[in-house]
Amino acid sequence: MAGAVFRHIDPRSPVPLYAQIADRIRIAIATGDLAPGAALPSVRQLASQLRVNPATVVQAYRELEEAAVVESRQGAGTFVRELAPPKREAERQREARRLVRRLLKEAAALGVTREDLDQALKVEMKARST
Amino acid sequence: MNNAIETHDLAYRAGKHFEIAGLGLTVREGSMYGFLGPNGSGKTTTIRLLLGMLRPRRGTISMLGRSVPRDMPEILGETGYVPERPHLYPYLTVSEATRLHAAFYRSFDAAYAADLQRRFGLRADHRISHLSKGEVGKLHVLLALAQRPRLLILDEPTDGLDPVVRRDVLAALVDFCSQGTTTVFISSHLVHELERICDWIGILDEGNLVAELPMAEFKNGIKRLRVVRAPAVVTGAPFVVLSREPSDGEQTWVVRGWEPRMAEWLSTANAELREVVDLDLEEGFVELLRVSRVPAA
Amino acid sequence: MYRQILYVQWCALRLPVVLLGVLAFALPLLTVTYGGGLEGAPPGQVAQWLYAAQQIGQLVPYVAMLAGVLLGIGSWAPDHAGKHVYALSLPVTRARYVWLRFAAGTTLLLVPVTAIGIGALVATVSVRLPSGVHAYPLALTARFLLASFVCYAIFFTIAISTRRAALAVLGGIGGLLLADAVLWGFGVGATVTPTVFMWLTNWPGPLSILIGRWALFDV
Repeated sequence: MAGAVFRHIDPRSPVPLYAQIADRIRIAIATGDLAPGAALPSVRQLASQLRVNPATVVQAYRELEEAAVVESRQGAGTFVRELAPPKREAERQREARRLVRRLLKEAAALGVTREDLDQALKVEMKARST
Repeated sequence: MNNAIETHDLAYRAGKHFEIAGLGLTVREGSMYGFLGPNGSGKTTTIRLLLGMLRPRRGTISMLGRSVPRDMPEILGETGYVPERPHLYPYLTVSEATRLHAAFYRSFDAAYAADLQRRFGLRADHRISHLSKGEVGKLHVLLALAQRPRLLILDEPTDGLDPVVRRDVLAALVDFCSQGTTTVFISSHLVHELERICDWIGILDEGNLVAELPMAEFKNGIKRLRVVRAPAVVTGAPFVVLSREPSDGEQTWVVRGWEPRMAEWLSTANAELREVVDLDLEEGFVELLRVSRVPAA
Repeated sequence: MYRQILYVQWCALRLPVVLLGVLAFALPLLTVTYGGGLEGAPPGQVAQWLYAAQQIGQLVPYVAMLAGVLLGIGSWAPDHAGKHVYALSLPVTRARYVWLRFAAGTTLLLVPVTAIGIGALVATVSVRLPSGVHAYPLALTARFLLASFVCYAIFFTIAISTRRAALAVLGGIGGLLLADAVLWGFGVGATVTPTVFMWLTNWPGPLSILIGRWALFDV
């Protein structure tokens, strides 16, 4: 999984580390960086890569599992879930709201204004569609 | 669940001005405990007391369920120690130092040591006296990890090391910890590193343990409040007021143990809460120290 | 553990041990160069040669003492430099660690001991001795071994003793000298220091091994 996905994990942010990690994974799934059925890095690998407490990664994975975004298979690791099409839309909308809530909270902590966000969103969306 | 480290009423004095008084540490097995404190607060001295290198004036120390200093060899056999200042023999090469260390520890994993040596970029035939500071630091960590200890005690392991070396060391440390249930006791004044990897924190200031609690609780619980029409006397608050300072007709409170629902309490006291500011670990640490040194108003 | 400590000690003390070995090997041979083939030589010449052999023999105890001192103090030098922190962090009792160091130092001490043994044997077989003169290679080697070991043990102990203990020893010596100075003030000659010295160097005093016959060749 690309290291860029997890850059800017900020221990100083009011958002707990496990939530930041879970968010990044959700974003990666939403943008297609992580395909359904793809394997997440092992707890050991990710904790070492991010230099965070392994328990933090475990907590992030557990949260995603409870949200039915990923599933863990005995001995094999954690994988992105393949959702049935009808569920997808509701799940997507819930995810979108969750993402936006977190984004707004982080933005507030960083001093980023709504206008900045709007602008950034437009730029990024445009870049993705090309 | 056992405690990996437990002290009761630990006291020590050196000279006229340095004293550790009645220290009571509790480090749970399997946790990554960050021992935080400004320079000169007694972190290294505490570690030396734990390892039986200094004799306390009074108090008890128990490590891995055994008593210090009576069972010291057994305890040390399962404890990896990374000192503040390097203590390996400088005339040995990396591989000679590794072999010497391996001879003393039953659980030493030579294959893991070789792997770490490669990962850290250390050359086997380099003399320790010719290694850079960062390489010496890495070697100490290598030897401690290769012991596969139950308890790891690190005294300012990344102090004075450049960022790249620090990352390598922390990554190796986290990697090791993910493999099992090693307890890690890491002392540092580099707050941000502790913030990432520790799940418990103990704050030492001038020989006193000022706070000891889960990291998440500490980080989430310390806030700065802007309060208007603050009551003259604060009694029965559900949180702990660490300090109150007036500014421009309102007061700035630094509190501990804050939860959002506590805003209600303020309104029952007829005060108004203007703002709640999150403090990161460093700010919380600074506030806590400032407050513990001067009694709150 | 012992093997590694021995190796580490060897790494630290390679140079002095080798130099001592060379010195110890050379001294008996030096005795011989002063006159091999003295069979049938006039008594005066033999007597001269024996005298020279004795002179050289007098150097041997100094080499033994030097070996003892260097290895006694050198065994602890690396630990001293690091303030003993590494040793204290190892999972052995302090007694065990001291014993490991002591054993390793003693093993290294065998290098000059063996060297003088070999040198003495070589010197003995390379010379045709006149009647009445005998060679004592084994006695010399044994004496060297004991003398160097006693010095080694003493200086090893000094090297690991705490400052307090070292001061106590120095204070003791100072006390002896002071006692004699006081006696001298009363018009009595020095009696305390010489008495203690006699006690130490005469059998069964610990340093008695240093006084005696050190010549390889003698009547």
